[in-house]
Amino acid sequence: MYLWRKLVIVVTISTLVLGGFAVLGMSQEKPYKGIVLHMACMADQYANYLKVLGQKFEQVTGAKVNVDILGYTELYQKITQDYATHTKQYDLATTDIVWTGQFAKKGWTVDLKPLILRDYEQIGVPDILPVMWSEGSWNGKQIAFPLAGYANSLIYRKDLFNNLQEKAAFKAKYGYELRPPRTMKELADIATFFTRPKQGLYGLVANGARGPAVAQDWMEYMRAFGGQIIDSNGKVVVDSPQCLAALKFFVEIFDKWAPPGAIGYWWDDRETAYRTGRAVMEFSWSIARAGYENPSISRVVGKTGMAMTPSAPSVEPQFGFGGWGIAINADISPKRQAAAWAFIKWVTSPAIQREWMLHDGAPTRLSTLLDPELNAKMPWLHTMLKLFIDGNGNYRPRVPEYSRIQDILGLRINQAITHELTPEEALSKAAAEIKAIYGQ
Amino acid sequence: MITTTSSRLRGALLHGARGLMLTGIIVFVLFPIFWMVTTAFKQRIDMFILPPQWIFKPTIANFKFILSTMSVGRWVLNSGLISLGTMALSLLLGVPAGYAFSRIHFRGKRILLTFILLTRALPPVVIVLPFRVIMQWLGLFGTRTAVILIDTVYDAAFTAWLMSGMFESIPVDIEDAALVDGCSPIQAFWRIILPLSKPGLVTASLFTFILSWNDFLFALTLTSPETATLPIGMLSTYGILNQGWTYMMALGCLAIVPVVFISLLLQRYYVSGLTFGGIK
Amino acid sequence: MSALACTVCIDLPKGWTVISSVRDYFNTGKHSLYLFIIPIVLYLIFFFLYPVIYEIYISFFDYSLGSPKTFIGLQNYVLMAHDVQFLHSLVTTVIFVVSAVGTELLFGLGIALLLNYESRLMNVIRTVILIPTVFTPLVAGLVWKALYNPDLGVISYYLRVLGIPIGRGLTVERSTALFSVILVDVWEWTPLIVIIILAGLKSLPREPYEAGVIDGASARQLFRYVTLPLLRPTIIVALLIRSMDALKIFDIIWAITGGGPGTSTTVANLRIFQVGVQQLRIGYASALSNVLLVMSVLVGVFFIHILYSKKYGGVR
Repeated sequence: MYLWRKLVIVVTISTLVLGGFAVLGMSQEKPYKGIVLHMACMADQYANYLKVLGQKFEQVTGAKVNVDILGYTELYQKITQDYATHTKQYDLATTDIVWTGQFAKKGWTVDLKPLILRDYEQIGVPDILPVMWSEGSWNGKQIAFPLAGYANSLIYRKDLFNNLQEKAAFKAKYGYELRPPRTMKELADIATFFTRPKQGLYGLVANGARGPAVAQDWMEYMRAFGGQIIDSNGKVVVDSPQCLAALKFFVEIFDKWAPPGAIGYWWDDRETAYRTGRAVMEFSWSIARAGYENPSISRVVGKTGMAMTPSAPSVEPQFGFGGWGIAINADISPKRQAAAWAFIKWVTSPAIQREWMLHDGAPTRLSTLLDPELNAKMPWLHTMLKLFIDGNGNYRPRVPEYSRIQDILGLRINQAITHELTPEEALSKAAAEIKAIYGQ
Repeated sequence: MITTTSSRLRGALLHGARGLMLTGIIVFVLFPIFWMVTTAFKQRIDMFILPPQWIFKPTIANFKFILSTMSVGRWVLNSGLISLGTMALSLLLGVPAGYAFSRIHFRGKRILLTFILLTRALPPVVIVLPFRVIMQWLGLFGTRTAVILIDTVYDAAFTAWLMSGMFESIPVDIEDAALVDGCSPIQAFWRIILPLSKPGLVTASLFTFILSWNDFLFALTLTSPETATLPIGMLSTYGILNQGWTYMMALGCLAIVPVVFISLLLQRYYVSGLTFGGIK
Repeated sequence: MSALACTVCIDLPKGWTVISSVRDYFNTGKHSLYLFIIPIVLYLIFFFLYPVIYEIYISFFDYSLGSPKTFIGLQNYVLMAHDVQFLHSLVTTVIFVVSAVGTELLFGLGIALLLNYESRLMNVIRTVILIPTVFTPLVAGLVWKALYNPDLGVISYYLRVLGIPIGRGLTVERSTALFSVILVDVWEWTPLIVIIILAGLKSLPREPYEAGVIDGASARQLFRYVTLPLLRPTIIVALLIRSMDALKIFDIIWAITGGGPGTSTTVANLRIFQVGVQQLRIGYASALSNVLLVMSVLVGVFFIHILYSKKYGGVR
């Protein structure tokens, strides 16, 4: 009898213990059950599927990520207010590469460096391209994790460039072959050649709208001319001859080659101008590339070429790198931070990134860029890889004062293209104002 | 003979000119609305064709898209709750005050009324920043309550002014009779005056609802993702690299339909609210 | 809330003598009605007066949201006096208010006269023109923004077809951008003036007209010497209502131009928003706000004064 009793007790206890383990095991399977994270997300192409992934994450870990899609300025405004006043509205946020310095200096987002080193193997750090880490790296900290890498390239109408008649006419006029331009002079020639307002065709387009749109597009040309806003010694050099040359060229775009409305363009307007077949060339971010092949928004399906951006002679070619990191709000509880970190690892993992790529996603990993199936669907990936390898993420200064610099340029460059100021005046005003920030 | 022909001609010309002007006005007023509605039913690619396409195959894809990918339900709910909350609070504060203002006279009444009416002149940008700080002290930042509280500043004052005009048009004799019968002033107000002032109440409800429904700046600065209203939701169609016009206009239709519908249904009351009780 | 509590206490049982004496006090005479005013006054003191006072107080500090504040006396105001962008935005505000309200008044008066007779068609038109006033201003802004789009917008397209020079586009040329946002305000708010003036026209006495007709006055003379003077108080009220509201302009400009090109459509509200909400410089934004506050209080007090005179004695 005692034996029986003992047996029963042993069995009961072991059942309980095992059951307990089982419960534990289950809860380890879904360790973040019931947590709902809020993510502020840039309204780029990738956003819609990120929303889907946010819900999918629940099946994996039990935590749900609600994605809130916001326009560029609203996103910046919402999250900086949220961080500054510690209101914890957003646990996660997509973070523009240029916000890095500011967020790091203020300590608004979690430094991910220890976590990355801890989970080095699981993440597969070497698979992520080196240039990607400029999304969020600052003074030894990593305040955001690379989420979406963008390469800045020259987008051009392959069909027109390959047209034999056009080729002949171009050669007759300019004395050299029509091909994707390598220098700014060639860019100007080709833009002039293709600008035919009567046919509704414009050679080259850029953003002109006051604010971040015009400031950021101008900086692409500034890079191409070898200009800098702040030099390596921290001196403000935005009124340098290179910057002035870039601005003069930039003003010409709007005076001579762009569709009339370009002066008020935001990114979406510029892309629309290209996709509707009115613009022949533009400097653009790779995230928009897939959209050219989407017949529901594009009239140039199959007609697009992608090449390295040209640069002025004697300027070492550098390719613009940009894109978005994903950052964790430093104010939220450790438990939510852990769930947020789990989401970051999951959403940037090779399998999920691959799935995301098929729905307007953006790559950060070598394995994604080399994936044969993706390459078959998106032949431009190899160009992107080349651009990433020589990519420079620092030509737009990622300093803590970036957003004030952008405000200043956003107004002054806009005033130059609307001829309210001459290029010289615009840059000397901008330089004075930026110097004032640094007390120079 | 000649004079009558020429005056008849002049009459016809005048008539024609009048008709032309009326047509012009109607086109000017309705065209943007017409464009918004048609765009909401267009395919995205059709947006980019010139000349503009006026005859096209309508699609409900835009509505399907916004309903399936955006939190439209939540935005509508938030807009509705905030508007109804503002309406209730404004009536609660404004109606009794309006009655009192119409019935009692005291020193400083004019200063007090001026103070109340000044809310109408206050630009939202001026008040929203300090209000945000205060809401954070109170732990209300990011809630629907915060938006209701700030909307009510404007709407309660509006209601008080509107209702005081309304009550003034009701003769005091009616209450005096009630008072003789043994009612207290408050009973008289509750049982006799309020039922008589239904038109004013309808106007006040309608107006406070619309003002709050149409608010953008307060919701922009005071809501969180959970409490965002419809206009804030529209910002997410502001996609940076895809022109989301068709989606935006579909959302615009959803934002406009309720207010247009109720204001046309209650047109008489709406008009008297528009004129702010300033005209009698 | 206390108004509600009060109406509840009326129905308390008779035996509650202590309360009933209080009740008697409030229930007899008109003292009780003061209770009706207290809630709204308290509410406005806390949620209207207090924020305004706080805003004045904070304007003497260097304060960015989330950072500690330092008292700097009048420095914000000194900075403001040299802030070309802000001073320019004040000028833009005045231009906006004067031309928008002026145009609305002109059109409003004309349309009201046109609509001032009874027929079924007129009733329909009077209903239709109400729709813009109900429009969520942000939505109105976004719709017009798309219509104005320099390349694909319907307005730009047809104006170009008609050969009307619009440069690179109405909203992107410095010379026409402000005009194009004013037009949207005119679209949305002219109907308000029409409605107010129609109400005014309806309440005009008949005698002066009969007298005028007997004296052989022409229609134009009747309008100039009878209608217009009689309408004057109505027009003043309409002007002031619109001026107060136009001073608050934000949503439409925010949606259509965001203040550009350059600074040509940056009104004071937008500038304050940029400084306060986007750059989080609350202290400085408060100093800027105070200027706007003074402006709107002046217009508001003037309006209320007119309203009173009209109510108790009329403006003649």
